[in-house]
Amino acid sequence: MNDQISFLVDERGRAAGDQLRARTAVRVIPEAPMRDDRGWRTLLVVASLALVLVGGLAYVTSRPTGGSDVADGAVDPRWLLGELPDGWVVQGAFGPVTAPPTAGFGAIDLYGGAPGVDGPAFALFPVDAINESDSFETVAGRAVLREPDQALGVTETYIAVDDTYSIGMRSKGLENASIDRVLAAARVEGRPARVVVDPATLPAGVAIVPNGDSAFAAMRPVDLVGGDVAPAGMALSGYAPEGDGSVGATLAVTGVVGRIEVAAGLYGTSSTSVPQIGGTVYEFEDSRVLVWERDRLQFSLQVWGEDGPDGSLTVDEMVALAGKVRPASAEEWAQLQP
Amino acid sequence: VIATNHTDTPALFVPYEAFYHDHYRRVLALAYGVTGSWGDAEDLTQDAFAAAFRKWRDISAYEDPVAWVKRCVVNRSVSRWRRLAAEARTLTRAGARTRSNYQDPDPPDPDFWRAVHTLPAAQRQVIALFYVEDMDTETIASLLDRPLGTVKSQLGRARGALHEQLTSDPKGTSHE
Repeated sequence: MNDQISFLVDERGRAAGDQLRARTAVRVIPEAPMRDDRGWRTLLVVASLALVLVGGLAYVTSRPTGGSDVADGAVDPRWLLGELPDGWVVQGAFGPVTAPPTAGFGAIDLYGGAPGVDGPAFALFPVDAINESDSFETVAGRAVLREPDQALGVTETYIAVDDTYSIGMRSKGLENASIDRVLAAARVEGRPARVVVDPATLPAGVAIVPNGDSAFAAMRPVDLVGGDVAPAGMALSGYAPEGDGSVGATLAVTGVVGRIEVAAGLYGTSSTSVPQIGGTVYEFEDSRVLVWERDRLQFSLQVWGEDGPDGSLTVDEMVALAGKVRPASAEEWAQLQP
Repeated sequence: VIATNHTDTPALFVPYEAFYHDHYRRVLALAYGVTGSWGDAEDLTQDAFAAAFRKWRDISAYEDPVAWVKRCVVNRSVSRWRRLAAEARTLTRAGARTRSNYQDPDPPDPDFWRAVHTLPAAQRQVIALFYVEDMDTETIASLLDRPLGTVKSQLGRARGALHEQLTSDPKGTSHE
C-alpha cells in the first residue's frame, strides 16, 4: 500500500471518526448499569429463551399446511392459561415446533464440573467457521482463535474443525481443559451442528452437566440418550391486557426430554423455589420466568413490563395462573393461529 | 472526591456514576465502530460499564480506567457468547411483544462504516481504535495485547481493503 492511498483512507477515516464522536456526543445517556449482573447466568437463560423463540419462528415460517403436527406417542404441548387476569386476552398461539432451528444459530452444549454460581467452568458449543479474524494460532494443524474476556475472567477459544464449523470452548479456571484434550474428546456432528463429546475422554473432574438449551433438546430428542424421553415439540401462546402493549406474558410448553437435561437448564440473575407447583421463578431486569413441570411437560411462563415484571404480574399471580393451565382442544388451538 | 490520573499520587476513589457519564458517549462511538449497529453498540457499552461496575473498587484505582472499558468493548465485540445474548434479547422481544419501531439511524459517512464492517473482526477492532479513538498503533497494540507488528499489518490490510471497496463503489467516493 502506498503512502498516497494510506493518506486518502486515513483522511476519510479520521473524518468519519470525528463525525461519529460528534453524533454520539448528543445522544441521551441511559441510566448507569449498577446492578450486580451475573452475566454468564443471565446469558444462559436469555439464550434459552431465544432458542425457544428461534424454534418458534422457524416453525412459523416452515410449518406444514395440513395434517397432524404432533408425532405418534408424543405428549401434546398445546396448553393454554386456564384463567386470565382481569382485562387480559389471549393474543395468539403457535406450535408444536417440529422444524429444527436455523443452521446459522447452532446449538449450545455445556460441559463442566458443576453449574455453580458462575455457570459451568467449561463449555463447548459449535459455531460458524472462523472466518472473521486473521489472528489465528495453529495448534495440531488446526486454526485456533483465542478471545479472552477479562471482565468475566474466562477465555473463549475457537478451534476450526472444517470449512463450515468450529468448536467453541469457554473455560474458566479449568487448566486441564487443553485444546489437545478437547480435540481428542469432541467432534461436531450434524447440520445444524452440535458438539458431541465422549464422556470417557473428558479431562479429569469434568463431566457432562445439564444442557442450557432445553428447547433444542426438545426439538431434537433423537440426539439425547436416556432420561424420561417424551418426544414432543414446543408450543407458545401469548397474552396481554386488551389494548395495552406495554405488558404481557408468554406461555411456552415443551416435552421433557431427559428430566435433568431440561429442569436444570435455566440460570437467572436470581431464582426462588415455588413449592406450590414444584417450580422455580427466575428474575431478570425486565422480565420474570416461572418454570415448572407437570405431566411430562415443562412449562415456562414469562412476563414482562415496561416498568419491570411487577408492573405486569406478581409472582403470586403467576403461580395462581400456573396452577390453572389446561390443554387446548385442536379446534381452539387452530383458531388462535396467527 | 477528586479523580486523579497522576501515578505518583495515591489513587482516590472515582465515583462510578461520574466516570460513566464522562465516558459513556465516547465508548458508545467506539462500540459503534466495531459493531456497526447502534443497538449492538448500546448493549455492548452497557455490558462493558456493568462489568466495570462489578470490579469498580479495583478498576477505579487504575491509571486509566476507561482503557479497561474500551478493551472490554473491543474484546466482547467478537465474542460469540455476546452475540448470542444480543440475538437472544432481540428475539425475546420480537417473539414476546410487538417489534420495536426503532430504526438505526445512519451514521455519518455510512459508506465508510459499511465498508469497515465487512472487514475481519481483528482489522475492524484496529480501525475503530485508530479512527474513532484516534489511537496510535503502539497504544492499540498495548490495549489489544497484540504485537505491534501484527497491529501495523492489520491496519495496512484494512486500509487496502477499505480503499478498494470505497473506490470500487461509486457511492463510496463521496462522503459527508
